[in-house]
Amino acid sequence: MVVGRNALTQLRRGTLEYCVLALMRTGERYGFDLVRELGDLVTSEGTIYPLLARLRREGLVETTWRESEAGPPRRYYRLTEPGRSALDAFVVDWERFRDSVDAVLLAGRQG
Amino acid sequence: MTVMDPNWLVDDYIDGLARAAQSLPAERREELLADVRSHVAESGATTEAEVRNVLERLGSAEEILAAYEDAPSTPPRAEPRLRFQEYAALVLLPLGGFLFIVGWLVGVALLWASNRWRTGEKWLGTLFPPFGYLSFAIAGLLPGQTCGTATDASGGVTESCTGFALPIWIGIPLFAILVIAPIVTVALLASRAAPNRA
Repeated sequence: MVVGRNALTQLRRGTLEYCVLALMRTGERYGFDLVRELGDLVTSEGTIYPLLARLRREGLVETTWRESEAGPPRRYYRLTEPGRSALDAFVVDWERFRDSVDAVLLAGRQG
Repeated sequence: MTVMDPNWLVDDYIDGLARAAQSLPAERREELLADVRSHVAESGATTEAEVRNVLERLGSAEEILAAYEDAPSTPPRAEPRLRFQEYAALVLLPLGGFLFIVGWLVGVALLWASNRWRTGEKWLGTLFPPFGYLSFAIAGLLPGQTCGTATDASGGVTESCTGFALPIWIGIPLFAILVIAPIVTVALLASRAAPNRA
């Protein structure tokens, strides 16, 4: 269904960056690592890199290059203070949004 | 199945991505290509089938580039059109000449270092007029024409003039231009200034 897929795309687009920030809450991450953990949330995995570049430009994350045990050096991403506040604010908004949507969907099903 | 070096597949993919990313600023493009290369390396894919799978999951170049267009989460902070260095340039260009000319040179350096103006505007700021109001002052210091009359013994009156004079029809417009030019230039530069014009 075209409309349904579109809504899902929009939802992904709006939430993905906060999922990325949330994954960094427990510590720094590198690109491939993030993609693996996001699973279904990223459809075209390559799109994570423009997203990460934007988060860095906005000052929500910062990066460092570090040697890896095997293979080429990795660009590690870490949450900044503004990134942490943006994430906290989103979590509050998201929970309220999710509850409202659930309430309406549930009422629709019962009514 | 044809045997193919999987590295060739990766190079081909990166080339396609680089072509599609032509419109990105060079720094951002290089960063993206490095990220994607490192992604493929991290995946540990070695066989052709594995490499194909990794590239397919990365998505098409168009999909990846479209991600640059996505709305930012926070509206980008509006950059001021004029920062301290541009204000300094706009003061030093007309008046810096009086600070032992060095002030004007600093103004020119700030003008050319700024990304708020195009090259043509920078030439205008530099040369219209050179040294700002100092050129007006210098023009004013040109030895003016002085005339005097002398009566000789026989009662004849002779008039003699020394110095140099521009014909009045050149002199007045020239002075007017030298007075107005710095104002026009500063006003034009101030109104045209915008982030990332150069």
